[in-house]
Amino acid sequence: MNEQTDIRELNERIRKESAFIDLINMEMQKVIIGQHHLVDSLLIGLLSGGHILLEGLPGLAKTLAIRTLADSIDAGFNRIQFTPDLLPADLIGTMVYSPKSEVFNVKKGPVFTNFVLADEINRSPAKVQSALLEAMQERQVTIGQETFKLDEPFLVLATQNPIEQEGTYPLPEAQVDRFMLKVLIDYPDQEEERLIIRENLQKSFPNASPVIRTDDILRAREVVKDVYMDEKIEKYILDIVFATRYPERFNLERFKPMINYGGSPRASINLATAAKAFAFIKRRGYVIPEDIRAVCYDVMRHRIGLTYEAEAENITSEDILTAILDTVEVP
Amino acid sequence: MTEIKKYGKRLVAVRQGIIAGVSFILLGFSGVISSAQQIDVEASFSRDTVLIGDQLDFTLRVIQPDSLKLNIPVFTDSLTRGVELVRPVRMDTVRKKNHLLEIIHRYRVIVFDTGGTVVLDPVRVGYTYHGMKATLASRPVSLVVKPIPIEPSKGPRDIKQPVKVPFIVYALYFLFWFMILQLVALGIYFLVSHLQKKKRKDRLPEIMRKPAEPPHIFALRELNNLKDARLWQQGRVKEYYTRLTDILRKYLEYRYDIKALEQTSAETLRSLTAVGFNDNRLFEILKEVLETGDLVKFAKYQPQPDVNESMLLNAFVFVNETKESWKKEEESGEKEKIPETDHNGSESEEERDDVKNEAETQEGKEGSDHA
Repeated sequence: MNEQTDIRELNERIRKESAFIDLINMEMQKVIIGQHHLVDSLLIGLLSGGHILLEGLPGLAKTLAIRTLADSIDAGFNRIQFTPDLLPADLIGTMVYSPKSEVFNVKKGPVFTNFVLADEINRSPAKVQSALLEAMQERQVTIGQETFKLDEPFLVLATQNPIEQEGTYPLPEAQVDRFMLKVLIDYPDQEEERLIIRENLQKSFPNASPVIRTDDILRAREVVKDVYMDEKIEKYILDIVFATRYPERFNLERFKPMINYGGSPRASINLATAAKAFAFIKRRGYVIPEDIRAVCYDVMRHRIGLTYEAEAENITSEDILTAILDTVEVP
Repeated sequence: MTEIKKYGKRLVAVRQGIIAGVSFILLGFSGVISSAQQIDVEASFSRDTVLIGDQLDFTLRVIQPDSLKLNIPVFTDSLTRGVELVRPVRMDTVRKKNHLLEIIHRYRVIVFDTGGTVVLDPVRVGYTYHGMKATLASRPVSLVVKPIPIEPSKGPRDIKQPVKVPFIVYALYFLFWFMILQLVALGIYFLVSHLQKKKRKDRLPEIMRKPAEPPHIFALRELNNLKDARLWQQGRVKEYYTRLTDILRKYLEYRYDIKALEQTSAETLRSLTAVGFNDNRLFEILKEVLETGDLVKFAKYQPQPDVNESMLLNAFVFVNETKESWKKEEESGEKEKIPETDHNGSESEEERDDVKNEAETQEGKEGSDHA
């Protein structure tokens, strides 16, 4: 009885706390046409505190979507264009000598904000990527002898495009693993693109305005943590992650030579967290298998290492995930 | 006078000493000579005449008493200028009669010198006999090296074309047997992989194996078992709904060939629509059971007792109204599927009630038939 009441109570809380989702969606739709999956993924990252890596061809509104999300929230936003000559100090800040006071003062970098858009993250060398990823993981930055906590919510939204790989520095697997989601963005359909043309030909381009505050997000995050996840769902998550590590145990022997390494425990954690956030977006106080399947590709695709055999046979991590989802029994 | 005598005696003694010494030396030499007579050193080439660049063998053969230790030279890179070693020495020792040993050193050499005749110096073998050192040498050997004959009258010639191997019937015979072998190997491979697959299939969990009986028989029997288990009455509501939805999903998988076990409830319903299921009433019944099951399984939902009962009843109705009958052909002995209903939603409410009643009465019957 009590458990049932808890879920009802939770559903009620979620109905109250998730009202801002509609507002954000409305603001996003003012600027972004289509790309519903992208918007949902951004909201999942926002609600679960997970960083997002967006990958798509140029001109698919990656940067615009992130900027619009930041605009619709009354929070700080900085965009950093990653270039080959960028230095860690350009990102996190440095000590600047003041001749007047004859002391070194800390000059904080653009990472000290709520939303960081790391545009084309793979254009900078590893030392800059490491500096950002350290901030992502620890949520703090050390300059000189002093350590500074980053503001909450702190969310890194990085973009990279899959073409023009010459002169880029691909993110190492260990660093990609720190992104909760890797979202692939595809072309809009014909009708959506027609609307995009019309909107861009208007005299004034619409802008998103702030509709919620950071406190609302932090409160919503607490509710997301309370979303109920049954042990059957936990087992389903573990089955999926273990199938990426030991495919032969799930009757998927054919993928064994194609997987170099499977999902880490961080994959299991992120799959559970993202599913909870997705359930919250759908106004549910409990997670169902649909939630797991909805976020599975974005959470897992960058966590499966492929072998040369897989590349030779044009097998992608999405193909492997599809096979896993078609094989692992749903609770 | 006495001094002259003394001097003469001493002279005689000295002469005798000299004679004795010379005799001793001569005796020693005679030993060496007699030993030397038992030692023989012989060097030879396998041919007397070679073309420049040709390879040939050089053999050094030494015969010696087995008690004697000889110092036989070993060549490392060349025998002499223009005669180079192709491979290092190969040694062999043969025991012969009269306590003699034959030691053979064989070299493969190549000749590059076109100077006409190559003369190899005698090969010297050293040895020690009773503390005295001596040397024995082979006879010098010579080799005539000829250059490649040039025939200016014939002019320059093209390089040789690849040799054409004539077709041999024997090769065809070999190819035939090779192909037979390959076919046999392929057959063994397929047999082994088939057996392995069968073994794996046998190991699959119960839920993944397709039953040998018609799906509705299996489903009705399981539903009856579930009813008899009285799970929700004991408070095991979650287990009750898990089994109920699993039975329905298995039934859907085998009846409609959709992957219901690996799909969520919404996906299962979509797949059912995709295979042409268009009975709205039965669709809603199934949807209600699956959704209630999801709520109980994943959201701690505790339905009222009448809901629990009605869900089981709904499951019976769905299975009974969608079942296929499997008719055994007496003549051919093969099973044939005959759809019993077309799912167009034409049944009336009375018919539905009839089916429900029929399900109620059939529960025990089917269960006992196929237990």
